[in-house]
Amino acid sequence: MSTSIKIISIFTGILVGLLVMAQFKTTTPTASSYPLDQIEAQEDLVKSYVDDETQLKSRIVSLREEINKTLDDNNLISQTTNLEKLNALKKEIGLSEIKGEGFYIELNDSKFIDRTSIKSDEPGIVYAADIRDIVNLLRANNVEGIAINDQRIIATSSITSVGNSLLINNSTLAPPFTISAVGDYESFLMRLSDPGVLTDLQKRVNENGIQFFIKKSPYIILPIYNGQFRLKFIQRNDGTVS
Amino acid sequence: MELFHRKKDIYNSQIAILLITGIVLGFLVINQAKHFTNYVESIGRDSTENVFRRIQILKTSNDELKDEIETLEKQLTELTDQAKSFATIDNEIKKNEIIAGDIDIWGPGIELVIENNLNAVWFTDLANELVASGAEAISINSIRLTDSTIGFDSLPNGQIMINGVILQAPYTLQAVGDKDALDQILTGPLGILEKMKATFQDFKYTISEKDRIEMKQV
Repeated sequence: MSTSIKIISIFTGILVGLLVMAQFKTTTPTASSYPLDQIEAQEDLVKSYVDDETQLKSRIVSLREEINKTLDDNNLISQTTNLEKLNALKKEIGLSEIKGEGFYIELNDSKFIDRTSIKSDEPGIVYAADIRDIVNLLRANNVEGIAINDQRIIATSSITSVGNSLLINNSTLAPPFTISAVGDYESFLMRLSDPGVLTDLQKRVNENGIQFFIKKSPYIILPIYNGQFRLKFIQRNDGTVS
Repeated sequence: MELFHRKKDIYNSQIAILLITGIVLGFLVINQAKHFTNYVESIGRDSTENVFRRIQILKTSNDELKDEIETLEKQLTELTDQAKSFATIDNEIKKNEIIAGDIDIWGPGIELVIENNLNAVWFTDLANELVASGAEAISINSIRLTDSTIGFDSLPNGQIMINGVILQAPYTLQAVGDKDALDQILTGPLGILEKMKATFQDFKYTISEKDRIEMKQV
């Protein structure tokens, strides 16, 4: 065997060895390989849960409205300062509607993209992270309240994605996403003009056709929070029992 | 002549070995590149969670919604009874004070300390990940995140401000909730800490489960 072939063989052997090692050491999430009927069954299950969730949330809203009405109707109770305190707290945590001057931000996927048939990292679709960044920017601008497609955003609202779907308050939302905010439009617009904010989204609006519009509105109504509050592990630290 | 044939055979077998090695090498290079692409995809800001995760989230959420309905129905019944209505309002105030952050609280949970400097995006994602993992209350460097908290603001010099306070590393994030679940979700595969490890060259953090985490009122 000639020297050059020996050298090539040694280097090839080393390279193969390194690649085999890298193969074993690399772990990546595995894609689903379920048969079509099982996937359909899973999608049916998701749909039934989503239907249940819609009904449950609607029941929660109607119960909260009924409770407010009962409190208002009860003259004896309405004279107490406790009721005022309760109403103030409800306003603070998203259990009262907020009405006032504000603006809408409409965010939509690129016109040339069908969200259902593409990968979730396609730059032409709206990501959960885009919505989180906008919500954070609105909060940094001290708006009074925020809602997305009629889901009121509170401190414990999560904005995540599962595949190509966005989950806000655990409700599945589809584009276009309308982010409504009660607050000062001009100061938010000034903040938006800073090239250092929403950099990734701004880039994708310019390069990948994400649709982003903002519009002032003289009167916006933000709905009450229609979800649950988790208080399983938390305790008051003032000696009283909640 | 025989020597010439032997040399030709050796030469042919060497070519065959090199050809097979080349094919194996090509296969391994492509496969490894595919692994790398998948890995890069998985460290994006939003994990591509599967349908099982979605079902799990919906099921848990619906169970919690049913509990909330039960509580509200009980509350409504009690409010129609004059004798019980005062106590019901008091209980509701106590509960809402916890949610609003108007009262000191405590509970089991986790404490995550990050030594690297972070930008506003990471704080937004960390808070979101904690909430999505079931955290009932969250604080960052002792500032509790509530509905009245002003969002993470990036200052021109790169510092992060929240509620008028500049955050400085090390950042201590505390969360009250199911400490095992919080720990597992944060540190698990495709959890936010894995993404941060992949993003920062020298990512330094500690996470610990605590039986008692205390948070001051806002």
